Amino acid sequence: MTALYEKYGNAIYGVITRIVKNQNIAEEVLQQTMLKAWNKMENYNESKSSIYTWLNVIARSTSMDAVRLKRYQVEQKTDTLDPLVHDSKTSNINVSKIDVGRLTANLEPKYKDVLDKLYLEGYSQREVSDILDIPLGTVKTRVKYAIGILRKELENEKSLFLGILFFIILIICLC
Amino acid sequence: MLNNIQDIRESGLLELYVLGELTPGDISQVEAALELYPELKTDLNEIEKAFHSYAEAHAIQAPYNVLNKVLAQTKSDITTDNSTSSSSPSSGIGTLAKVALLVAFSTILFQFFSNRNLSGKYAEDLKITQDNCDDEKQNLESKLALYRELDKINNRSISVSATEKYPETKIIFNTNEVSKRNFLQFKFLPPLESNQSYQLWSLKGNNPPIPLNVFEDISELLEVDFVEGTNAYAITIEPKGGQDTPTLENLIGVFSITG
Repeated sequence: MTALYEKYGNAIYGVITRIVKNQNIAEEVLQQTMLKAWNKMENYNESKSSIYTWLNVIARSTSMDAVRLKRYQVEQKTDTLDPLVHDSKTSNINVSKIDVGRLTANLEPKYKDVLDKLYLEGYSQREVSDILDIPLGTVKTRVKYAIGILRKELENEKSLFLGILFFIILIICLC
Repeated sequence: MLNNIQDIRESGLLELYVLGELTPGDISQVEAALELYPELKTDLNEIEKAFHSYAEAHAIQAPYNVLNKVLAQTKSDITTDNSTSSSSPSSGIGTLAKVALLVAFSTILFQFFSNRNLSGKYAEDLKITQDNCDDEKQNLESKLALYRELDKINNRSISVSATEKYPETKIIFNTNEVSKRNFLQFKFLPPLESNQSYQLWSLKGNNPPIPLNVFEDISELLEVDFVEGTNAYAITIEPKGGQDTPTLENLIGVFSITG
């Protein structure tokens, strides 16, 4: 469980926090998510999805359950996400592997907006369509395009990494 | 209907599948396609990585207190599971805990059913108490009504003329010739033997004494018979139950009505 938490906890927590928009509730949801994963571990099928995807689906559904709770509506009046997300003093945000700026550099705002709302903020496709006032089909298309861009960026990073590694090995061999 | 692998890739369903945004029908369709086209799994893996990377880019440090809580819960689950099969000391504690839980539950059940019976008994006792209170209330109201008679304007209070044999006798005789009611208030009377009673007599002209009320209880105001034309009333001590002629040597006192 510790390994699972340390490997995926930060990313899951980031998604949860943006959906529920409350730190206290986010912590509870994270705890529930990990416990659900623990109790349903025997149901995980690696041929159907990665473990992160599986965890993420649990986290999203648990977050949406919390959002529907009445307490969420009360808590939101007294506490907000902004200090948590934008606080530069918030330490240990694990972005050491991924540079969000570089990752999304080629992602236009209209695609990033759809991706953020659908993936990070927990809205359904229908809700995103209503909020952004775009057709449902456009939501699907923009998500697909945004992920396509991210896939290319990751591929480019992988290629760059391999290239650098090859160069280093070459230098070592020549020396 | 997705006819080929290219349709699937362009449909956007794989992305939505990773997001968990598909209906059960669409999920089945995607999973069937994954079975049919194993190369789609590469696309799926890359999509998952893209989403994961995006989430990592927006990650927030997960609090360690949450991990501790999760670990505590999962360790508790493991201990509970192990206690059913192993013979280690922890399994003994687990068994003990189960027995304690069973005892506690049984006790609660017993108390519950006892309380149900007890509440029935309480209800019965309460009813009896209520009935007693009602009776007492009626009794007191009756007595109050008697005392109110003494305050009526035509009521006359006459102190007993005690005999030499019983000089300490103190009795108030209340008579009302309009309402034709008599009451006796007892302050002091000579004590009775167990086989004796007090008896009231009406003395009217030259007629033999008329036997009236026989009583032993002198604790309360006592309403007694009213005889029209009585000149005096007398009290004697008689054999228990009274008799038809007075025992004159046991005359306690006389109340003169006509003066």
